[in-house]
Amino acid sequence: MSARFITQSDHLLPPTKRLTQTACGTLAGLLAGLIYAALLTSQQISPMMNATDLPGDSLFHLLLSAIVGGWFGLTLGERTATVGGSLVWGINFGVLWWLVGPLTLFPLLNGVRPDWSVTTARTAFPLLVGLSVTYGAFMGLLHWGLYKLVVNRRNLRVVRQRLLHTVQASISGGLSGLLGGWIFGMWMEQTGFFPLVAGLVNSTDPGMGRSLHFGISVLIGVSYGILFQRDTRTIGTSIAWGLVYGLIWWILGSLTLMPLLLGQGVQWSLAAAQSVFASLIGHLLYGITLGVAQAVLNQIWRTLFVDSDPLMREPEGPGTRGLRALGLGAVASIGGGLAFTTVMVATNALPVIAGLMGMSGAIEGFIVHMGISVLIGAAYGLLFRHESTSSYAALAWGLVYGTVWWVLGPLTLMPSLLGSPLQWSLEAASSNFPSLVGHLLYGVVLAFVYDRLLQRYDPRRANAAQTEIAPFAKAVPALWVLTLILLLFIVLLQM
Amino acid sequence: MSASVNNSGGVFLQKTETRWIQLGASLGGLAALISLGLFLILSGSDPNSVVPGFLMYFALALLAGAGYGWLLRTGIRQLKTYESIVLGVVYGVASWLFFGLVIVPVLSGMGPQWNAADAAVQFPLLMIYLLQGVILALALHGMQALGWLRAVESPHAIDELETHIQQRVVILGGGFAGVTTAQELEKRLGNHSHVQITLVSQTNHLLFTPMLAEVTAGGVEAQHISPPLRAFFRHVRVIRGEPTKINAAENTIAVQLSSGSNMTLAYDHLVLALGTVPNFFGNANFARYAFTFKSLADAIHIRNHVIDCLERADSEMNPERRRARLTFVVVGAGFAGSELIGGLNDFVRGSLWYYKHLRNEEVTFLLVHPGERILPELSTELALYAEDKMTARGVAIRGNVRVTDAGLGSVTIGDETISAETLIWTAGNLPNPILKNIGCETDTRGAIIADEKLLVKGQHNLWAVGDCAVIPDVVTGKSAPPTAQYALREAKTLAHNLHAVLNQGEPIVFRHRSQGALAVVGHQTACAEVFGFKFSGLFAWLMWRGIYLSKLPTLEKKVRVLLDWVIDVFFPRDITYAPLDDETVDPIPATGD
Repeated sequence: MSARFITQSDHLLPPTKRLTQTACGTLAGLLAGLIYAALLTSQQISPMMNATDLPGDSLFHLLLSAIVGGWFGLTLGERTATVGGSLVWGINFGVLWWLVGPLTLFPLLNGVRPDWSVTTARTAFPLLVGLSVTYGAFMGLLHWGLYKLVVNRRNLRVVRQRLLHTVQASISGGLSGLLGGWIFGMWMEQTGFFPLVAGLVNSTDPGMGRSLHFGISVLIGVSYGILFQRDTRTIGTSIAWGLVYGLIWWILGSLTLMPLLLGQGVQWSLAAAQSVFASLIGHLLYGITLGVAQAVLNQIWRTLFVDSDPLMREPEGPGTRGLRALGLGAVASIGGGLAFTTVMVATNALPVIAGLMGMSGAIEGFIVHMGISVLIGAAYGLLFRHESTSSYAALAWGLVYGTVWWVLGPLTLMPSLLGSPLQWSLEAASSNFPSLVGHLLYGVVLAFVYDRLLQRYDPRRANAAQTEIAPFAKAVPALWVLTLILLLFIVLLQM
Repeated sequence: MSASVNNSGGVFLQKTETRWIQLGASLGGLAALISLGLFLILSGSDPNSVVPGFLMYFALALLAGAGYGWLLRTGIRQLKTYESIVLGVVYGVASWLFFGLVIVPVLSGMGPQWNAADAAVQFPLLMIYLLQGVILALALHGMQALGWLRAVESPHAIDELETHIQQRVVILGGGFAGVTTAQELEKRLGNHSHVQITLVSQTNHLLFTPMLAEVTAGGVEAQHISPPLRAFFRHVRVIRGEPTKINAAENTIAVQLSSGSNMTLAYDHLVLALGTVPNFFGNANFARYAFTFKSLADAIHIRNHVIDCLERADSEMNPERRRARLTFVVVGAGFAGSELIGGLNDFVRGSLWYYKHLRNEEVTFLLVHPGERILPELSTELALYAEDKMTARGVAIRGNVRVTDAGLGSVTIGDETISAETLIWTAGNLPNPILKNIGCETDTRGAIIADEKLLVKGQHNLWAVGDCAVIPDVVTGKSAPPTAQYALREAKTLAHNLHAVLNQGEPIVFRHRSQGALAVVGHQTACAEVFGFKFSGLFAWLMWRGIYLSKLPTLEKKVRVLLDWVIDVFFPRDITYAPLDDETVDPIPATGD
């Protein structure tokens, strides 16, 4: 097994370090809670879901925010070594707090039994939006920043090295953002969204809107490169990072900053979110493109300019493992494809698939579907061969991969190939909900079978279980949960 | 499953995969009950409205819990608490999506609930499944952290495996028989870590002997026909060393390692696959002056020596000494000797154009054997065909005569002594001499006598296979011949029998009907008998190449050998002289040097 997973163990943190992390988490939670509460109350929504005592609720909420932040610092200290890790774990905490707080504890405090119905979830939707990004993400970022400020003493040489990497990450992020923005821009062009963007500078000119859009895309790409330069090492994980970053910027951008800048206040209500649902798909696609492109550019940079990457060095030729990964992925896709076929038969989708090749029968559709399945499976093998380190990890990545292909497939590529407009509307997503279940099933079966094949045919796979996990990989479980959170968003928006 | 007391005094259960599945199922069911109970208490909802089919819900929870336990059986010790919670969340959401929205409604006759309105009705179930997942994950994690549960060990953790080994199988010999036995047994045993298989071999590779002559003749590279032993196995322990003493009474073997140190291996079952050594019929001069042809090193030594002879002959002024350098004697006309001399003959004569002072008629290849004809394993017709072809290409064949002595630059054939600087010995083999000291029954040559189930006679845990053993073939009623084809089949039967004995099963008898034989006698010429059909010439040569390429282990080596053959089509023979580090002075140095 290569050295990519060898790192120092920091299980035994000295008490002072833990105390420092807890203190930083508490302060970060407090500050993030302040921002969150301010934005929420600007919409006349109580953080405690109690409309009668807004100021009191806000104060109590601040206290809870500080406590949650402290708990975050205490339990996740070692997982927040990178800014990306801190960010995604922070969002996890924010959503967890949404489940525990607004959906469970707050009703009890208000003397009402929690019912966890979809009605309650929809009512609490603004809190979900706020807690995930403005509270959770900010808490994570602030915690990381505060801790680094308090603890780290950098020397000049390290700063110079980091600067070079940051410049490189910025450039690759910017270029990737440009590519992602171009793909997102195709939909914006189709739907006439550019004049709305131009409204940010008090204009209605589509050209101005287009320029602004690309400018923002580049900036977001640069921020992605800078924030996640130590987290995004493989293309597989980068896809997940991109997906998550797309979700973050949908919430931060479409629901928060843009309406704020347009003088409308934050738009966290369910209705507002539903009205910009198409933009969610666009952001996700932007994020996926950003993640993949940035990972590829980083890989090129490392291959050309880094003498020996200690974490990702492949002593053998690319064909040695690459061909095997492609082959195993293709074989594994047969299982996934067959599992997905059950859903396609139930929803009578096979003739539609056949339309991709100008045919119309179910048998033809099955053949086309299996062909596509093999290609996607082979790609999975190549992109996720470093991620499939255990059976449960494989299953989680399968869910991520299935989600990605639901966004790419029935909503984007299929309508494009059939000559139809992009299917990014809420109605289209609702009608493709069974397809989402099918894609998730495909992803899980594909990943599981691939993992079993890898165990059988790649002896290095067995050694993965014996090695420790590198810092950048410690955020991976958070990515899995965030993908599920994305699914939760999609489900809630459609209900 | 065994139980022992650990240092802290708690009861410590060793878990197998089955145990993990059982535990996962139990905890999954318990988690389902607790999560549903908590939900109903807090929400005050009607159970029937939340979970209409309780039995189905519970059954699926058991199933999912079993799957979860199985998934985590090896990796759980690396998980931190929060990661366990994350996995529980993933489990919960996946369960809601697949069970709550699809499987349960379908089994209840309602159809999948995968449109927005139907999914909204099932939304409260999401909380239940989330809670269920977290409870299950934390329960398993807690049990592992408290030491009540132990992860299934990875088969690569050899040192940790030592405490779990219940049976030890040691295989001596890294040839076809030994490697195939280990491979087949490993496949049958799967991941059961209670049986440790150890293979002791002098080399770290499996030599594909049918292509050895091609190495000498420069047709293929040496390492291309010898895949490393470790590439064959996942769990088998490979030790590079030589057994020096086998103590059947104490079930131990003394092994001298390649590093020079010694170790003792204990066994429950021992497989003797030690092959043979050259038989010099008691003549020390043969051992001193002749090249053997048993290993890769032998093949490379012969090749280097032949090239060296050509180089020295090219600058030799004395015609008699030059002729001696260009005289090559091969003793033994079986497959090894015949293929070798055919290949060398082509190599030397094809390389002569590099050496401006050498003439074709000065080169002598002499194949000496005591029989009536060469290739006794083939039919008379094919053997005579081979003789004609080899003679036409310049190989002199002398039958009904023995090589009786060898000296410095000389070989005595019958009563005649000729000057020759190359003597290659392929005239007979003896079983490995270590077998004589075990105390088991052997034949006159020293081969171990085994029964038809490959168990050594009079022993209950000693097995023999391959060229070092006499194994009755129930098909022919005779002993199985010492060929690779038989060795492979014997090994498969032996692996089956070992597995049966380890699992209180019944071993089977060895039976095999020969599929045929093939031999290359020169460039693009071969003889073959396959399932009774005879072939010769170019077609037989192509058959030989195709069949042996398919039998060469590992895809990588197949591709490498195929590339060697393709390169051979376009470029002349390589006459690079590259002596090995341990090559000493030639056994027969040039006279007068």
